Amino acid sequence: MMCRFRWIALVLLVFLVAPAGCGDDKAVFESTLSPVHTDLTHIKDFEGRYMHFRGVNVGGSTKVPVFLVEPLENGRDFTYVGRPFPLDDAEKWFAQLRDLGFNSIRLLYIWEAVFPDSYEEPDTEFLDYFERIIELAGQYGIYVLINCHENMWSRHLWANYNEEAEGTKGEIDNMLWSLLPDPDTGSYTDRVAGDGAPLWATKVCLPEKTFYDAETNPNWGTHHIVGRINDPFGQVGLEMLLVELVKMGLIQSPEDVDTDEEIEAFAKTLSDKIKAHAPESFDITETTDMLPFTFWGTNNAVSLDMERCYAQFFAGDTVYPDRRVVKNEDGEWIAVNKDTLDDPDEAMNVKDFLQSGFINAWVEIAKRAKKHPNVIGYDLMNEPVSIFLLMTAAAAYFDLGLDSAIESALTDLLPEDDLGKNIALLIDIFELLPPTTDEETRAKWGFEGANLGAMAGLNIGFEKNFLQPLYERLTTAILEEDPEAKIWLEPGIGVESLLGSGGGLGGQWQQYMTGLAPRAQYVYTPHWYPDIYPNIGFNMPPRTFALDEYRYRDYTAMLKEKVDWAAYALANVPAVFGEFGTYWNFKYLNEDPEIPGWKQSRMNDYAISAEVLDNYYEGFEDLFLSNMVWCFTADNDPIYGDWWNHEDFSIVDDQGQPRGEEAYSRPYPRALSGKPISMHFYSPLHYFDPDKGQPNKDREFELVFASKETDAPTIIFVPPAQYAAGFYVWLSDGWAAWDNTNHRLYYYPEADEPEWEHTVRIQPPIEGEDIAGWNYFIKGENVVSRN
Amino acid sequence: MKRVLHIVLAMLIVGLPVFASAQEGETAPEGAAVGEAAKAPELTPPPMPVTPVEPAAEEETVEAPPVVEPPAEAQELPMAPPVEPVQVREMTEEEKSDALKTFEKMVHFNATLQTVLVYQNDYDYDNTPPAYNPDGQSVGLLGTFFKPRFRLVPIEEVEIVYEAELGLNLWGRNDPDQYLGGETDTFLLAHRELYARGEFMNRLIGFKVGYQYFTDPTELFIGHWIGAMSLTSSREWADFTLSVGQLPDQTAEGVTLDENNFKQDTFVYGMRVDVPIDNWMIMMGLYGLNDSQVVNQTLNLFTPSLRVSADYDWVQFGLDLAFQTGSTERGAAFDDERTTAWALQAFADFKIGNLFIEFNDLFLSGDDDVDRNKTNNAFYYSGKSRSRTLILSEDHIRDRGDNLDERLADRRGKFYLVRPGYSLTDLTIGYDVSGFFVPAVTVGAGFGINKTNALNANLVGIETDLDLEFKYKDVVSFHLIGAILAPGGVAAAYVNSYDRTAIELQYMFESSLSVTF
Repeated sequence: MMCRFRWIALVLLVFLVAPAGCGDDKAVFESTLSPVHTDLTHIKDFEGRYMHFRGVNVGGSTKVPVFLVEPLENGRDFTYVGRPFPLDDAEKWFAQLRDLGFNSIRLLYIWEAVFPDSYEEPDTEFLDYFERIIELAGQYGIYVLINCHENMWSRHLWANYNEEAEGTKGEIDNMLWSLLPDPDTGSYTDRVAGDGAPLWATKVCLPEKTFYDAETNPNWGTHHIVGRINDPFGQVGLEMLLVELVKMGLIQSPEDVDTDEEIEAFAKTLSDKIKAHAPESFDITETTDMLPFTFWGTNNAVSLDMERCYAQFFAGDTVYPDRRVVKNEDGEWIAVNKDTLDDPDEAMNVKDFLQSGFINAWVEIAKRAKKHPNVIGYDLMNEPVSIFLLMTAAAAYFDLGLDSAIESALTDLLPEDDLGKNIALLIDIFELLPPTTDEETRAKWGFEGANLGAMAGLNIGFEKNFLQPLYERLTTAILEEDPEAKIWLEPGIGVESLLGSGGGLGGQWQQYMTGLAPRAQYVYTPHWYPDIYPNIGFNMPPRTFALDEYRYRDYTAMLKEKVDWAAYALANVPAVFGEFGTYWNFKYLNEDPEIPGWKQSRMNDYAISAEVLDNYYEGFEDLFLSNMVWCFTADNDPIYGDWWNHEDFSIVDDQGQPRGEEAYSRPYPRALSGKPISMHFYSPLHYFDPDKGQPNKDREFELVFASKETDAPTIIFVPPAQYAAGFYVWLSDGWAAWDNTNHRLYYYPEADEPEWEHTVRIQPPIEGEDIAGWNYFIKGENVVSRN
Repeated sequence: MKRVLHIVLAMLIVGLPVFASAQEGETAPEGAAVGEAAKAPELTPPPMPVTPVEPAAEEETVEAPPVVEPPAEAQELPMAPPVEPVQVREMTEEEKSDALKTFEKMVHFNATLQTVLVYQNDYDYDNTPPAYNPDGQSVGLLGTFFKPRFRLVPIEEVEIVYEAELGLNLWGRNDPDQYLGGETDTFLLAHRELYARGEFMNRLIGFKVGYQYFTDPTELFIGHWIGAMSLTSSREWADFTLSVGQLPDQTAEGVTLDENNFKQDTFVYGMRVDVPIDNWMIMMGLYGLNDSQVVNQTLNLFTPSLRVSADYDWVQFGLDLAFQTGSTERGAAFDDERTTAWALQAFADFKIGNLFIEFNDLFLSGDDDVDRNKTNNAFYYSGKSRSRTLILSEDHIRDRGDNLDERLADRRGKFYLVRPGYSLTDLTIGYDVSGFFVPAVTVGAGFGINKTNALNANLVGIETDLDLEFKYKDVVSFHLIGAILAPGGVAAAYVNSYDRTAIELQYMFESSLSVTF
């Protein structure tokens, strides 16, 4: 009997020691980001997962500094601290970006932000701020690609215009009036500007210029033609010009004018009005030759000042071989002729000066960025421009003394009524071309010491001969600071690209960069935009579209052509689309044209913009291509958009609310356990061609990848905005866990065979749809599991 | 180390019966209770039964087989010495009787043939029509199942059992004229049990090896057909069982030795003690599960379980209790998953004259709010309970795999994890009308325990069944059943196709004709 109870006691003891509590710990999902690296054609994380980036450029207003009410001690009245947004707001915006599904940002900085005051002194306050922004992004699961952004060289090059000019926007008279200041205030209302280089670097590039000063040179930015209007010769010339334009019918009088007297009287009236609008006359050295093209990029091809800046940056040692940069007595860096120096070999040529300044900014950034595992790379230079045709022509004009030749040609070609002679005279008066080719004019136009051959050479093999050496210098410097740096390369934007890529005439013309010397982890990052910019002109209104124009467009071929260059010429390095996007202020075909575009877009719930973006994303998904949309602007404005050249690309509106998110807040894999094969998402903007008996697979997401190369899970972002009614999950194998806080599905594949194709399908409840075989139904925090 | 223990344990279990068998002739004490080894006839081969097995009619003689003439060619070959024709002696009546008794003692056969009709108005609780469904939404089956069972007893201490089921003969699908028709859902043969069992030395030691229905004391954890080896020992006051078994899993590595191993398999092992105390029975078990079928996600689970029951003339009642603890490597996102779960079942069956009342209460612990976090609190459930309900739990008339306690669950290998948890209470009241007609009514109510895991719903459903059974001599049993389920939000969340909150009534009609031999 004792024996019996001993046995019973033993077994009961087993029950007693068995734990009976119930845990309630929450799932511990990935809370930190691991460093990434390139592996052949892919970017992988520390776990060996294939990374897929859905990013956004942050931010659109970074191109413009924050202007200070109280200048700093050194007199500087601007700062880039607060670009893209103040630190106090950073967590709010990163949380929003995370919730929209972005796992990465292309964080812009401006060269001027790092060295705002001089060649030597970085702005440590900005660097501290910038580093904190990187750190906070990581805390919200967001990777950071750092981009040194610039367009049209510098914000210190700009072109004034009057938005409230007479006439109808888009018509020629309005464009011309917009070049003049507002008659009531005598000032302009807006400007088209660049961004990038600091003032001290720009001054070195354009030493003949007297830059803006509110007191001494308020005309900076007003086109020099306007500066000629109130010149004594210009006043005469203006009347002549107007008479000819009325006769040619290019200017319409409100009343019938037939006789010469009537025409001249009308021209005189008009001329007086223009003169009254125009500022006092000023010289070409007191302004830039930029024009206020609403499609601002046009200036890259038509501004001599801008082309000369870029030319010196990329090849200043040859295009201005005698130019050196030295410090003057005031401690400012200035460009001088080497012949004025006692020891010219000790001084930097202008290219080395500019490039070393640019590199120094990158090194300062890399010192901060290397500490943070969420930094995925350094995007060296935004859209390097390589259009130097006008500058080359101007240099040829001076070197070959074409001033008299052009006058003769016009006189001979247009002899009737001295038309040719008069046109030549007008060109002379308004200085549409340099009036002479003597040394004084040459100096005023910035071509003193310019080397025609070197300038012409910039148009050939730009990427190989000029961009690649810069990239190599930058890469070497960054790697010294951050040996694990990933270097992101953008292609040059030049006339070469107009000729086509890879084959035919373009292929023979191109000398593309390849085989970069420093061994590094490279990523190729092209940009592409469709026909969304305003038409070429000044003070142009937004584009007008019919919705159907965009609904059926497929960008896949265009995107593929851009990105294929990585395989064609860059040893098949990984490729991530660095920029694409859309305006959010389009006009709609059936709306009243008097209503501004931003209002029309809101009235139509941004339908066209959303369609444009959806077309992009469908293309990216077809190509399984990582991408970063332009852009996020925390301080977006309904009228001035992203505060730069009336661009209005921000995915959030002036209230900070997402717009068109059904296009870009879409499911995608943040990281994959195996090699990507395919994915698609049919957003509500997708064009369906229905099949009989089958409901449209609205919002279906499907991901396929091969094999299982790591035990780490595949992480899929599932946007709540797309699945308010919950969603089903089908898995080919394995299991999944739901992180409701971050809206991420963690998929753990189990099948381990080589070539196994793992499939994850997500779909909301669709009335009438066969849902057999689902593994999970997830709605909010609720997970119904039938795995 | 665990694997080595498994193999040693397996060797012991396989080896001991052999050892025991070799010893029994010498040491079996007289008067052995079960095996009756001392009184057993000598272990000589029994006389072969004569075909046919029907006893020959009196006066009838058994004809000698005809002498086969060699072929002509053979006659030319050197001839062997002529063989005397076998003289077949006619069996005596006593010999015939002995042979028949021996046969009946050695060979046991019984079988059940069941034909079932099931019809439900809808598979789920949402009447939203599919986009294209020419069949409508109702579901049902009309099929036949045949379950033969053989039991061979070569000696009194040893038996060989084979049970199979030939079934899923859906009348609308099976066409015997169409050989290899490509249909896989017609006649299917399932080998349910195939094992050998022996008990020796007055049941001091015994074994049971082969494919068998294997349970823990509560059946809530293990209630599966698996391959297992058990070493048993029975004393007057307790029965002890030490077992190791392998569960079927999805990783079939192959049937040849060079393809097979034990790396990705699922094993169960453990011990059980059954202690009878007068009308009471205490059954205690401790079982371990080692499931490596998923690469790098091995589950080790330990389940102590206990049943305390009593059996009196007018009532049977009992309590089942089981705890689970263990962990799954990488079973959670970025971590191991720790399982701590429990199950409880209380039952009482009353019999008062011809009236019977059956009560059952089942609880399965549910998981916490987050799936695949580091903690799992859902019970690894066999899918077997004592509940009499037909929809809320397994249909005891015919299991079709669509019972709600399984439909609400995750499948982990052969087990069901009901993440919302499950509480099922049911009561059956029936009356045996002169042994021929037995009507019974069952009412059951199921609830989830953690509503977060069921779209914030608690009610699984309320089921009412009316079972009219007609019996004839325990050979023929005919059921006519009508059932209504008022589903709750939990059932809707897990079962519905479109609207996961719809709770339309589900009706079921079932009839079954079973003939048992």
